[in-house]
Amino acid sequence: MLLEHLATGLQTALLPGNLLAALLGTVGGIVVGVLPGLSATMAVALLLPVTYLTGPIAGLIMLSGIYCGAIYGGSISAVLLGTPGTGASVVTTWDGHPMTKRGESKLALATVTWASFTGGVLGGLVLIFLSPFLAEFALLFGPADYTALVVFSMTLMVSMSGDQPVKGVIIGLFGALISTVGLDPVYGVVRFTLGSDDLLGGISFIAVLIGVFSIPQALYLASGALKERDVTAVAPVHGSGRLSLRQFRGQALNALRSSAIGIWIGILPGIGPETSPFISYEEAKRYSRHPHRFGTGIIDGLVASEAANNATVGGSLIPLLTLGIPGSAVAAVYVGALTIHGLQPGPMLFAQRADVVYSLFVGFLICNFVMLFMGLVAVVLFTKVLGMPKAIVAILIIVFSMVGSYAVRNSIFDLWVTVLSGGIGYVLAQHRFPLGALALGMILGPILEENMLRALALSHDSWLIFVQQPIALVFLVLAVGSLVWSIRRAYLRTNLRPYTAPTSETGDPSD
Amino acid sequence: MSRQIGDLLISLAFIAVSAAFLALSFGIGDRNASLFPRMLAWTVLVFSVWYLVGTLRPRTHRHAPAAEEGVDLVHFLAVLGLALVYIPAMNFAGYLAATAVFIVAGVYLLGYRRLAVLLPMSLLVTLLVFIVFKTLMYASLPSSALDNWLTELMYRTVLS
Repeated sequence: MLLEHLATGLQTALLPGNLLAALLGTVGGIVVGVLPGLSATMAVALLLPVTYLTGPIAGLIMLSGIYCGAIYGGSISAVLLGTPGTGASVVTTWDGHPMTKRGESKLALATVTWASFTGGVLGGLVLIFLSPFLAEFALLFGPADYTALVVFSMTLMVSMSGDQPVKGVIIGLFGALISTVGLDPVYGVVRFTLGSDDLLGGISFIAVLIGVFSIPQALYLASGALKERDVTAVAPVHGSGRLSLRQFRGQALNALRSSAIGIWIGILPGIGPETSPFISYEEAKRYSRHPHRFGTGIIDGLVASEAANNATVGGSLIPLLTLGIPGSAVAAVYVGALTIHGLQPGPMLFAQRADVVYSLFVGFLICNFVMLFMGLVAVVLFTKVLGMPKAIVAILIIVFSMVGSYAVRNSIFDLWVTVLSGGIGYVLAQHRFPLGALALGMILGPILEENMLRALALSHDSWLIFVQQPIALVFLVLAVGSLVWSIRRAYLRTNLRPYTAPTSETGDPSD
Repeated sequence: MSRQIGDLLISLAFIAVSAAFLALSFGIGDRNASLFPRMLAWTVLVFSVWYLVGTLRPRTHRHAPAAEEGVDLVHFLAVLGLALVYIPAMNFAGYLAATAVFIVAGVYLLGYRRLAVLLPMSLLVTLLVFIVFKTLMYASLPSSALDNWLTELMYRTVLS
């Protein structure tokens, strides 16, 4: 059955339009990833309207390409500039930039490319072979179980907020609150529209997502937080870019171990590709025969970091597609892409739209092959992007945000929503509010409300249904555990350490 | 604006908005339809008050400063203002004219002054986005007489 679905998925993914989507998505993702200060989340959010216009399969393949490409692209600037393009490539700078300084940038880039490809493909394979089993299990869920599952997912807002969990709760639940504007999902009652026809259809979450993830980055570039000089000092690409068979063999175990760590971290909700490289790097160091050389510019460190962060991408799609849990801001945007096509992530997606799921799986692998090809053949071209004036990048981001936001509902009102949520998002990001939690709240809010009301209708308004169903009870216990763990972690961070480091070295306002 | 004042204003804004939602939720006739937003509004309100109390406490300076170094408020406000003007401009003059002018004005405002690059780039990007959205994706963009004429011309060219 799985092989049949995969064969169909392969046929669909190989259609010219879908191949083009993979190519454009991956190249676009690399371009955005290369530029320091622009995040993978922004790239995915910015292209979200395009997925609405292209159809679900091409759109989701394109999003996968953007996500994979952006994570990989971040490593190019990490190697050449010593500045990570995205938060996921911080660890890559530790060995990548010293290699560039020694004149081995080509070798570093080739290593990064192969490691990213290995991690990406292994993550994709685990996604393909593990997801159907998890989805089958999730078919047992009823409305009460789903309610508890979404409550558990919403506790991730707290873990996204680092040492200030209150901010995550406020902004996440605020996202859910503004998603209640318009018609309610079960009874069709009009709520909070203040008599405005524009609000009758609700506040478009696409307009808000584009606003909070793209506009703040444009404003961030515009406000001069990223100095022009930081990105123009690109080191020339030189040295030999060929990895020997011995080097390949020597790194195989490191790549496998780091990929496994990356996939596991990806499956765990709330932890993304920014975290996995730190763990895999430490593990690679622990198992190495020359740990003292880590950080001086060796390929072991690059393999550990890049295999892990790219493997996390595939891993993070597992809970999203099988259970409908978006564990990160990027995953929340994926949910957005599915819901604008009337598709609900979760087990029913496998049962009802296997064509979409398996085409996405195969498309995901194709994106990794595109990434490998681009990395080995055209990496020098991508470094040219680094010379692009930031003023132009900032203004173009705003134009693409506006056009995309308008195109989905042909609504001028959505443009106001985009710009205002962008301005507010910028201010909130400056005050360390996790914008990913807002996205999570806006997307999970309606799902939670619908399932909660259905469960209550089934139980004749008895709240006990949420603790009488074993699966629901397990998720509620997990939710409590997740909250306790996050609050404890925040407490330890705040009270036991003299100084709390920022979550992203790029100062990325939306990650 | 100091960080503490910013936190104070943000917490007050959240309190005001959640209180407004709460008050409006009592106007919803259906009990089931008001249940969820009311639960959310209460929770946001309670946590916002908690946040407010936290901002009023004396600071221990344990937290790292946010990445505000080098932020140019004038550029920030200018671009935000320009984006806000861009919306009615698109509604009034259509996508093509408004976008071409917005790109030139925005980039110029941010300090890039090479008009020989800026003007053709602005026209090229504006047209490219127009063609991709109109002909490849059949999407709609805010239109004026100029936009309509160009759209018609493109479709006629493609059909012929």
